[in-house]
Amino acid sequence: MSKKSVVPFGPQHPVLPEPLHLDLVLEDEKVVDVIPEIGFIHRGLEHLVDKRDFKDYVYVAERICGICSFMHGMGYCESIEYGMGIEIPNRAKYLRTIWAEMSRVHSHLLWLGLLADGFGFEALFNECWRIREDVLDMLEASTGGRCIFSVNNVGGVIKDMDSAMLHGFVEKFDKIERDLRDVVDTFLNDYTVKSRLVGVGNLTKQAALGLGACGPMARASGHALDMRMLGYAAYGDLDVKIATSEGCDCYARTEVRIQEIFNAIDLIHQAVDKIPAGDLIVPVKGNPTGEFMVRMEQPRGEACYYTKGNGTPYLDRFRVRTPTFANIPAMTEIMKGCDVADIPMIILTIDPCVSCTER
Amino acid sequence: MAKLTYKVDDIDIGELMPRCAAYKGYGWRLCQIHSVRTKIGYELTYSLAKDYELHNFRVTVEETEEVPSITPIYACAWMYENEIAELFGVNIENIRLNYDRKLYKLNVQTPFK
Repeated sequence: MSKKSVVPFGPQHPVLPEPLHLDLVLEDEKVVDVIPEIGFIHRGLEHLVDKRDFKDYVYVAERICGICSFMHGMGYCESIEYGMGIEIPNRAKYLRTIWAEMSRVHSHLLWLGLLADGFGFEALFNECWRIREDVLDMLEASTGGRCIFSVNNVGGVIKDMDSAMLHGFVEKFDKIERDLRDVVDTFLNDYTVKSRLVGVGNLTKQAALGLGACGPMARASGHALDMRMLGYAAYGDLDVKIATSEGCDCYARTEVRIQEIFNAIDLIHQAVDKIPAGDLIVPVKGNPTGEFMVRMEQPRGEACYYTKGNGTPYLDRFRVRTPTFANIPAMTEIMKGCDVADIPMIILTIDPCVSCTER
Repeated sequence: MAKLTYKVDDIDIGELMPRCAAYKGYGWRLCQIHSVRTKIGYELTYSLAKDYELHNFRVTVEETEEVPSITPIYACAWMYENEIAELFGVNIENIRLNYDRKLYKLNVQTPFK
């Protein structure tokens, strides 16, 4: 048996957009154990609920993360709305759905770019981010923000998109879809890309269940589980398709996320076709008293939003369980037995969001 | 509004491990664990999911009372339990991967009071 050595990986590393440290225990080039270390950017945002009015806190919730910011705001609002029995206008539900799916498209394109960067394919990285830029422009045109939108409020949304804007976006998404087909071909069929992804970081269907994996991580291991099927926002009115794969490896996770971009664009089409006219927001009277938890499908997977009120404007507790938080145990488990050179690909294919994880 | 509900069963601390083991046996996954501070101690809520079904059960403990770790049953619970131990100060015994209340690198004193 070879001598064991410990190699520190991160918190600063070219494949890590955010700080995460791993102690890799190696025997020659094989990883035999992994000890993760997080906590470099813990901000105590959940703790702020006792200092911010529950209606204002949505702006804090959105700042949990810059990529899934819209869905954090939406998750927080829906948890309060369900808890207080507030029925938001239908138009607001559709607008939330459209912005959520636009966020999913830009998040997955960002991730595809980072993956390409991770395996050293700079042209592919640039192309993914170029396409993503168009999505960010649409988000900016409709909300005023490219990352933090601040359009969610408890009771609905505060900005609208008119019909011309919505149909203009649909046309732009058609163009994005066409551009994406060429990029996707490289990701899924290029020999050099496949050599880095196929057979790497296997997470079996059974292990994914036992390790609490969620989102594309679980769907790439054969679990057809997507929280949008619960029907929150306007998803109950739309035909949500779940992208899955039986491959269980890094390639399967890439395949699933790519398919999810096309599915998200399809959902935007459906939502634009069905969006009703009407109000955007209803007045909210009183303060939250009970507790509620909603589950949502963020780009990285299932997120849980728990709120507990006490009859005052300040909540007793707000808790977010983010998808990366749930996927870290699975990530460390699949690293065991792999080559040290595969570690960056495994980290990237869980699409880690450390800001979300640490809050 | 879609028909989403949230229901929690209160259980005794002695029931926690057998209940988790039974759920695991039936193929339920650990969805989340969270803690809420109360006047006398803490409430720990365990959420287990199967497909789209979600079951929540809650144990209420006093401040110094020990809570058994569920990591022997759900190995992935170490993230949740280490966080709760550090930020809330709940005494969770026998966590399989125990960070000894140092999961996060914080400059402020924990647990938060």
